[in-house]
Amino acid sequence: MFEHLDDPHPYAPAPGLRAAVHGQVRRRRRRRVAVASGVATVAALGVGSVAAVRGRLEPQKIDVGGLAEEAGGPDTPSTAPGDPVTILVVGLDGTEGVPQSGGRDPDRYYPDSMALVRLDPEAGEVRLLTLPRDLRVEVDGVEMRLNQTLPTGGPTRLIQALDQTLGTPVDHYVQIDYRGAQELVDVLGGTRIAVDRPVRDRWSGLALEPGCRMLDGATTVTLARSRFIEVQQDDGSWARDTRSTLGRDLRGAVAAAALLQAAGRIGVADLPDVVRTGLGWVTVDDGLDRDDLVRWARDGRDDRVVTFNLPTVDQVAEDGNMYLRLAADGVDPVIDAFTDGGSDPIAPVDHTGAPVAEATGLRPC
Amino acid sequence: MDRFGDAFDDLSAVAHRVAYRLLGDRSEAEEVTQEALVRVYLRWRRVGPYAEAWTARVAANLALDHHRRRSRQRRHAETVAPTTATDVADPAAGLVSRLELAEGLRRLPRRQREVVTLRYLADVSEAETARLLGCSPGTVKQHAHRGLAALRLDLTPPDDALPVTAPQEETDVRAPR
Repeated sequence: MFEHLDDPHPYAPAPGLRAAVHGQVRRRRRRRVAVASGVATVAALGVGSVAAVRGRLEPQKIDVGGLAEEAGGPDTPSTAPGDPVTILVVGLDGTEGVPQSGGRDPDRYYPDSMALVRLDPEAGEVRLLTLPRDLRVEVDGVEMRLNQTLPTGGPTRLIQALDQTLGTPVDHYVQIDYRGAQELVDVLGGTRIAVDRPVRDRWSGLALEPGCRMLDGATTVTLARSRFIEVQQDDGSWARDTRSTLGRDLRGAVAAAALLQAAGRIGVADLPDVVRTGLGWVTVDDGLDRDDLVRWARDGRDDRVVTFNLPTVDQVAEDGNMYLRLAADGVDPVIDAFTDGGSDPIAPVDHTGAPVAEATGLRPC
Repeated sequence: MDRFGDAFDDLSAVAHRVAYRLLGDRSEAEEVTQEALVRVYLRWRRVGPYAEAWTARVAANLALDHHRRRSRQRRHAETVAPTTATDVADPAAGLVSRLELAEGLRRLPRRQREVVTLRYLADVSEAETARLLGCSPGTVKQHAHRGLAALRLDLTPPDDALPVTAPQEETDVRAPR
């Protein structure tokens, strides 16, 4: 179809190409080892640590369609130990039997926080990609917000939307409600979050002073869900974060990263309590078993956490509502870096977590 | 290591073909080829079983990044660079230019773009494309059909011939899983 664009001269590898490739690989491997050592830890979500002791509780399991392993794809964790795995993690709005979103269908749960977590043992990284709830996606020809896919079509529709919009296959699904998240944080000993400037939310009562703060489960969840965050300025006045749900998504990413780090700090002696408390709160796809969780926990304890943020633009839709669209530029490098890791000397990508930290004034510590 | 060495020439040819079709510049295509091969080698243990498709995808993404930077530089200089001698565009013959193709691909949803790139720019088989993307061949067909339709719409001037034509087999769309 595109043969008319071919090079008219027959192709032959340039002299020295092999040597150049091998040289680059050696340099990057050296750099990768230097970067990975001594950085923050993680254990495959809190869930990985939670499951690191055999026996007792099992997480609730549900049938989820659209997962990559159904098609025998490249990211099939059950058959390829050590290969990267992508997990869709969803924090639900409400707790079991107690939905909390006024005016919505009480029988439906809306995802309040969504993230893709990429476990990459070979790279020594756990990568976390925040998914904006207001991202406009198309599923089967119908446009909707990303957070509307779950209540209308379950995890399968959410996974389809991600595949079609971002091109990111999902291997496994993990879901937790807010009560569960709160309990999980507490049993992990809390999250540590660095605060650059005084932060408050008068509606929820949240107030954080600058410094490295240890937050309990309730405070961590409140921070992740806060809609009316204000940050104190140099002159003492308070400035409202006007980004609405996007700002909330970013703070959710900080809280999730801090939760991952907390999971990595869990000692063996504490694991029985963690197991008793934790597993009962999570729901996973029925292809996920305890051995996978144990392997992730074991392999991921010394990995560093890297966070990613999708570039988006505001858009007012025909119905007058505000949505987020993927920006025309900059999405692919983020997805590539999230999926494959490594640096990109041709199109440098800041995947150090700095964008989220700069945008919120918060970071795990 | 050895298997990568054995596949080196074939993989470099795939990367170069994809990059040249998008860029039309031998030097830039070689730069993309080298970078794509470095990435393949770094992840050989994982991507080895579908290295050709993976190499093609990386090369296409890198080439589109090149295009993006070129466009930015052109806008910055407020000049329109002349198309290269090899930037063939002949709407009457149903041929699309590199610039049109790159811009059209960039506007496609990611999954459609990947499928169109692999199937028609890199000439990767449907089964291999499905394996790389972790989906079924039916899903590949569906994305190819939709991607080509969107490209066709995007690239066709009003009342003009279609610059991109889908092979007949691609119209056989099955329902997604």
